[in-house]
Amino acid sequence: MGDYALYIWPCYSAVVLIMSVLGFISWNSKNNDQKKFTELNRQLQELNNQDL
Amino acid sequence: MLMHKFANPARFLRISKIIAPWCFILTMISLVIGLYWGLFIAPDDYQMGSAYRIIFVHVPASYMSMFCYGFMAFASAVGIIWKHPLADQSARAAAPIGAAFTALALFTGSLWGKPMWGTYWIWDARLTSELVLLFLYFGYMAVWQAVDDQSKAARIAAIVALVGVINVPIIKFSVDWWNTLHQPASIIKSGGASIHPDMLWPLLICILAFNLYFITILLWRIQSLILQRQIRGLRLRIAEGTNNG
Repeated sequence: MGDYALYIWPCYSAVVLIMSVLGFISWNSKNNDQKKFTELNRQLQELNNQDL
Repeated sequence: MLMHKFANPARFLRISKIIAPWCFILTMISLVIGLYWGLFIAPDDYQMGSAYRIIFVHVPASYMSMFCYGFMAFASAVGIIWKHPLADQSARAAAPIGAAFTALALFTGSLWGKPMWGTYWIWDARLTSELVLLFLYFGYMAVWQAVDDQSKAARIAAIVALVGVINVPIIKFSVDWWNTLHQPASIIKSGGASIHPDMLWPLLICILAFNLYFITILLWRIQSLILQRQIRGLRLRIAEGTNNG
């Protein structure tokens, strides 16, 4: 790649970095929301059982 | 009809949970093949040497920056016409992905511009309209953050998306309408692609990988937004139950 490596590698690195970060944030957020949803659903069921 | 069938949030969640992992696996495979091919196997260009290898990330990022905005505008139009919350959430989920692709297109483009044009940036029609696209994404995301009422935010954001979509054909045809430093289209043009197959194939694989990445992240983000909506509903019901009890 010669002198052009100075331009090529930062491009590829930025693509991999930004895509990885966005991918991780999205995946992590989805997992956290799923956990929260399951937990709240459980709480609601407990509440309903108490009422019965 | 099919659109309405999948527009049910519960059905969408169920189907997307099956599709997303496969999309992720295919994204990783195609991305590794495309980037490796582009970096190490594709031959040097006779004029630009190795510098042209930036196209394997720059072209897919630029194409996706416009595609994401087109998708966002389409989903916004569906949201306005049929008032379906999933359409608004789809548009909202696509915005950060589109903004990331636009930022990457600008960054990789400027790094390609330096050895080819002798400058990182120039107020050229193509570059400027792409920068405007980035600001449109920021504006769209800012609306969702600024307005508390979600249905009101969806309406305002949809208008921003629909007004801004005029910029997409401007970006695409800027190289034909004005004299620019940026090279004209080499893949989607009349008479077929003007790139040698040894360079075209890795480029097409990278474009496929970026598309699959978009689908994967979009599905994850929509799942997250649907769950957040359901969480808000559950919290309200729990609060009401506690107060009544």
